[in-house]
Amino acid sequence: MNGLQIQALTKRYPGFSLEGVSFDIPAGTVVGLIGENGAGKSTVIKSILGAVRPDSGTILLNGKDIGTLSKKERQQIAFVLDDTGLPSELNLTELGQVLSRIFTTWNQERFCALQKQLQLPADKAVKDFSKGMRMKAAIAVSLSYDSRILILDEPTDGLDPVVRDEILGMIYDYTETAERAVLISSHITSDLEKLCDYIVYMHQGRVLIREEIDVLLRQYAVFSCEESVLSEWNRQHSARKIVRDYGVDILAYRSDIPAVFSFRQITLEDIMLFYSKGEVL
Amino acid sequence: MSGLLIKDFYNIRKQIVWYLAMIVLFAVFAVSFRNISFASSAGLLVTISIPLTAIAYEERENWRKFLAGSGMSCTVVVLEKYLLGILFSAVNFCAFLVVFLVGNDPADSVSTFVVPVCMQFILLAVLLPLVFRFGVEKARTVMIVVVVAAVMLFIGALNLLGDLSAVSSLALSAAMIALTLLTLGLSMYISVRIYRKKEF
Repeated sequence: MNGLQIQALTKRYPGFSLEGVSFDIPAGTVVGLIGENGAGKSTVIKSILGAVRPDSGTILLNGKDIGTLSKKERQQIAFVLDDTGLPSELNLTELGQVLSRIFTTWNQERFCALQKQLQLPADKAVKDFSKGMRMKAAIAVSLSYDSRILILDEPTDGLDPVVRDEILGMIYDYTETAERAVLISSHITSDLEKLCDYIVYMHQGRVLIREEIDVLLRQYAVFSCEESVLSEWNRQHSARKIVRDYGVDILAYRSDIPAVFSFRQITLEDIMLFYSKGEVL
Repeated sequence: MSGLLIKDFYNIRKQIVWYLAMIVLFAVFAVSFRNISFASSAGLLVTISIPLTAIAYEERENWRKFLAGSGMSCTVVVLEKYLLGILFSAVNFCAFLVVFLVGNDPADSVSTFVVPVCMQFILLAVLLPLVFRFGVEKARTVMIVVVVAAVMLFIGALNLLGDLSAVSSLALSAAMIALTLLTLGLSMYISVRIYRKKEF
């Protein structure tokens, strides 16, 4: 398979463990990684980047174990870290000089063009940038060398809607080339609904849902009712409930919802809420 | 490696100016007071402070996570910090050479020059594995102990030199250089092994 494959990834820390995480990021797709804080999203991303060594499992880039990749092959995975990781005292001109010596396919012209496009000053130190400017600089860096996979760890969190939209646009443009793929983790699920083809939902170190986003959002719905009604409810699939003051909210397969109940379209936020706080029915 | 070196020069350029000024200041003191230990003290300070400052910035900025993602080899990342320390001790070496030639007592032996220079590198060799293992903050405590021990060793070595003849001074210098090379090589090997096990 072209793209990135994560197979049975396991990493144990005191008090937290990532258990058998598996999912694919096929070429030509955008995969959204969602989950609560501490669900293991960053550990997965750090494992892909080589910043964390998994206890077991494999990560394959175009069928090849990433542990065996050369530096040039490894740089086919571009990345944007949540804290950018850029040296704070350097301006973008100096940063270009440094990164052109680190990334084998660095394109200085592209880097300068992206700076202009994103209205980033070339002579101002990164430490003096706003949070949005720092993130835009990190994205400009990640798009200035040839890559097949782009990994972004919470790139839009804490940013205003205008900057977020600009960043989402750039990620969208990146995927216009068919052999490229994106993995993006974010707490802003509305951004992912706009951008992603697939969703991977992680909870307490495990993958709970791995599904095409359209299927996921079409398959489920939410309705509300009195709790007493549930004992008489016949359904084919499992459902989840959250007890409220006014009754219960139910996340269920649309086909299971009785015609008498009106339901609403779900969002990714509903999925997270029902799987983290809800009980299985 | 050149990219990493350039990054460090840019990132800690303000501190570099201060350290260079310190080398000059200590050299002037050493010549003025006809006491070369002033200049050698600056060498010890600068050689360890420059890489430590650079590493402190990297820890704060999460630069190492960035480097891991870029596929940069652990060996290159580690050796660059040694090279950074060695480059600045080379600057101090030049200043110390001038001080030695201008301000030394004719009775001073070659080892009076060689021993302090070697001590800079030995100190660097001892400290860098600690910093890679524990990080700059935790390593500071260990560093204070090491610096005090190194200074005592250095003073003891200087006293010892006074009792040695010119021939044994040359032998001592050769032994010091051999010890320095051995310590540096061993230190680099240990640091690379430590760094390979690090997670960011």
